[in-house]
Amino acid sequence: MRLLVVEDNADLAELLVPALARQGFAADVMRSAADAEEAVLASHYAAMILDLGLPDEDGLTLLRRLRKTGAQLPVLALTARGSVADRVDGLKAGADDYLVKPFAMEELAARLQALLRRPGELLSESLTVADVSLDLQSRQVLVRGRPEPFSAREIDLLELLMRRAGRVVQKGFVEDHLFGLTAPVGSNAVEVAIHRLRKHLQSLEARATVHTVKGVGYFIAEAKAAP
Amino acid sequence: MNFRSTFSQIVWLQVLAVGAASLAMPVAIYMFLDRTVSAYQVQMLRNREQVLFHAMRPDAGRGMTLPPGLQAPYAQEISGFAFSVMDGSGHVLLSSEADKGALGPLPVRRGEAVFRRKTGKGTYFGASFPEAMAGRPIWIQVEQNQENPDVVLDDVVAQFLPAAGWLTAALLAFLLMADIVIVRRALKPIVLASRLAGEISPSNMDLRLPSEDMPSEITPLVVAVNQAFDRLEQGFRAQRDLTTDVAHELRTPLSVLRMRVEFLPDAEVRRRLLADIDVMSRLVNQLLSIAELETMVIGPADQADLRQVCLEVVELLAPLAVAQDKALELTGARRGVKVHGQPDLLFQAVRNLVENAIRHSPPQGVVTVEVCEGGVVKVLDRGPGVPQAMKARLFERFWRGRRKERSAVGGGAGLGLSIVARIAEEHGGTVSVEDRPGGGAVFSVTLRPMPTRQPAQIS
Repeated sequence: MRLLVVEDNADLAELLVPALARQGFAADVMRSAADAEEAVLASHYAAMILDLGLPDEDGLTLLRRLRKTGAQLPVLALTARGSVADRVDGLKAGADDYLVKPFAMEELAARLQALLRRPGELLSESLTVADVSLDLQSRQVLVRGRPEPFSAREIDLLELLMRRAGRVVQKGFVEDHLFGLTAPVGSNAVEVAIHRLRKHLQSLEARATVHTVKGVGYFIAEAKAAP
Repeated sequence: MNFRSTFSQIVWLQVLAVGAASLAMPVAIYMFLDRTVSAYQVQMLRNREQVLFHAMRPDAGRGMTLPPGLQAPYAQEISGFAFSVMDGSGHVLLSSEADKGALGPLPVRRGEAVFRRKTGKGTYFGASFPEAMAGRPIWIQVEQNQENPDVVLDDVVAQFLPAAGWLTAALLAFLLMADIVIVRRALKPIVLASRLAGEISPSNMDLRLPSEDMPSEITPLVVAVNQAFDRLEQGFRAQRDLTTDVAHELRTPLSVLRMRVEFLPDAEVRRRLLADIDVMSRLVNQLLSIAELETMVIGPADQADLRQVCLEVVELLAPLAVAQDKALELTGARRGVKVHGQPDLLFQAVRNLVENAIRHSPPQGVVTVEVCEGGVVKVLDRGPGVPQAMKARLFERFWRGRRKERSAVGGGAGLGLSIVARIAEEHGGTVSVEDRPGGGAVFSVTLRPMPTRQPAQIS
């Protein structure tokens, strides 16, 4: 699975390749819109990271043209412009997601993973947060590589949170997905499920922790190394 | 009365001019008429004098006689006419009057002269004419009673004065009205232009004053003002574009820096440097916010769900807070709170407050975002609080000067709070800070709630 990085800044491009490699992505770098267009048409890339400020052409123009010719690959737009209007323009032009510079590598990796996991794409992938991973095919949870027994509900919940690792999942969303219409009104079923999952991960000394954001929802993130 | 107004100046000067003219004009016309009438009357008197002079003859003694045909009409007082003939030294030779005296004073020098006199019988207008009879100089005086019904000329003149006065006054008043209307019409485009000029602001810079309909005397001013606006706009845009460009240009090198730091082996050094980069990134974002804020216009119909805005901020920042061993929570209203405003701007305001609160919270501190029904959002922390002396100036705009003073007191409170204040102000709202009971600070942003329709209750 190869990614195409279109970035005209030599330093950034040079740094992105090994950083992506660390996250398990192999990447080719193109420095101009013309080169990028050629590369997309010539070979099959799993996704494209597209800087919008290219020297020969605006990244959005290139993206619009690629979409018109039928290029389906997911595109993560990378930009130094970050106003609301810019964001809307980017999504209209056919970008699947949008990241404003400067970004954390973790964030970039998480966004890429999310893009690659869109329906129809690479369903057999597994989700990983710190030392916890979930095989989506076999629905098996591995902590530090060892399979651990989790209940079906715990696994559903884990998948929900791990798909958006590091980002908050709203309580209502968890409720709908975990219990659907069967949840009794006003129950604290979600709280109970979250509490159980948190305890379970703690008992295994996993470095992934489930956090509660009171009034909003939950998220899973890598626990900080003990000081 | 404001005499600096061109309109009132014009009107008042007009009123004075009209007043003076309505006095002076009838008087002038009266004087002119009076002179004409006098000359006419003198002419009439001279004609009669000539008739007398040619008709009379020296009598037996030293006197004069008139043929009987002429005696009768002059004897009758009814005609109001009288005459007297005197020799050079003033002895009466012949007179229509019973008392046989001079009618009026004789001129000192020989020459034609007029006189007026008033008696119980009426007002007389007369003239003395020098003549010579058989080599002797004589005076012939004739006069006419002006009050005699046959004499109408002087009545016409006398009645003319008030009539002419009123007529002139009415005419001039009409002219004055016309002037007021004309001046008003001429000034109208100027009034409209000044109203328009009042709307020109950084977020509304393409407005210009209209030069159509403008009086041609004012057009050069309008053109010059518009050109001044053009230059200001250019300068303003250049400055804002510079801010925006600089901020954008900084982002790519910041990305490079961040990447390099992420490759550092030492976790502690990496953590510290990343924190520094975050500070710089935030500054860049704030610079952009400020540049953007100057151009944002909040429409009267714009509305935002304050709770949704706060929810999104908490969602975004909660993982960051947790990463710093702090927590973030959302409390208060459970349903949407509609306020007048622009969601993206309100997001920035709340985000700045929450980031600020997280930064100042101690480890394990909880930052609470509370949304109240009336359109108020409160951000509560357990940090050190804000010293009393700083509270008032915490929200001052850094970009309107006082930066030095600010950094002396504020110690890098940053651009964030200025942005919050500016956004609140744009929304017709307010921002304030208070001490939190038990320690910490409470920042409140009060917005204008949207009038809500009562939602139908479903049980």
